[in-house]
Amino acid sequence: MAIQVTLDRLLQERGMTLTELSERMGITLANLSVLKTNKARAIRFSTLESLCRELDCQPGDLLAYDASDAAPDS
Amino acid sequence: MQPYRAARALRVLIILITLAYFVVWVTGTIVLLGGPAVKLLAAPESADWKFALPIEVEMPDSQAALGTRWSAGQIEITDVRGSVRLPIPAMSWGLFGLLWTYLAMTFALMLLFLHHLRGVLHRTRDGAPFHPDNAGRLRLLGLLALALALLQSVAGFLASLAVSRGLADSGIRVPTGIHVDETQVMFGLVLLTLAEVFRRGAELEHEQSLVV
Repeated sequence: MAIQVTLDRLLQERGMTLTELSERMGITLANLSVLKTNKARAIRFSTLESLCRELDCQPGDLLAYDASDAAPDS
Repeated sequence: MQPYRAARALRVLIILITLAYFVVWVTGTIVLLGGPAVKLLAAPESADWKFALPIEVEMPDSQAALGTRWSAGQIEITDVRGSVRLPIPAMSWGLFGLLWTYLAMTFALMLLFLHHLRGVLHRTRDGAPFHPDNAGRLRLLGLLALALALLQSVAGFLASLAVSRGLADSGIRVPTGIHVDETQVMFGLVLLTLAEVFRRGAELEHEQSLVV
């Protein structure tokens, strides 16, 4: 997937664990792990809002685009 | 539909299917164990225990004089059909063996069908109707329905061949062609179609689970 979620970098910078973040957000650890390991297919705006609020960041800080991983045009 | 009603309908369905499973299991056990017992222990001339063959015979057309409240006249009785029942003690062991095998296979297919149908309902009750297991089970249910139709066709064909020679002089007609139960075949095809729908549903559910 070309869109990468840089959650682990932000967690390290904030000195927060994934478990702590999941408790603050009210989202399951399993779902956050899907996000952290870049297995997610989509993210809801509500989840993005919650992440930005708890990590005190902008959406652009969380998401990165890697052109080399982009799917070819059909 | 109210969620409560759907849950209750599901529970009732599970109870009915489970009941059907045990009825088939008990009936099958009694028939499959009782048949050989009757063959071994009953007197050869006994006509109390009969086995119904999976065929339908046609009786010759007949006429009868009948007085009705309106007038006296002739009535014609046509298209009379019936079944053939053979006394078990008088049957040859070869024929009995074939019929017993047919019954055993029928009961086994029915039990497998009900077992997997219960599996589908239990997954649905657990909140995961579009699980890949259910797609697999529905495909198996479709194949079992088609297998049952095939088994009945083959058994009916073989039984008609066995019986037609014996009834040749009686005027009773035994259709010897291969007859396929179209309703059962369509039922099997519907289940196979549903299996593909559920397989796609499982894929969509998996995609949905990856939306955070």
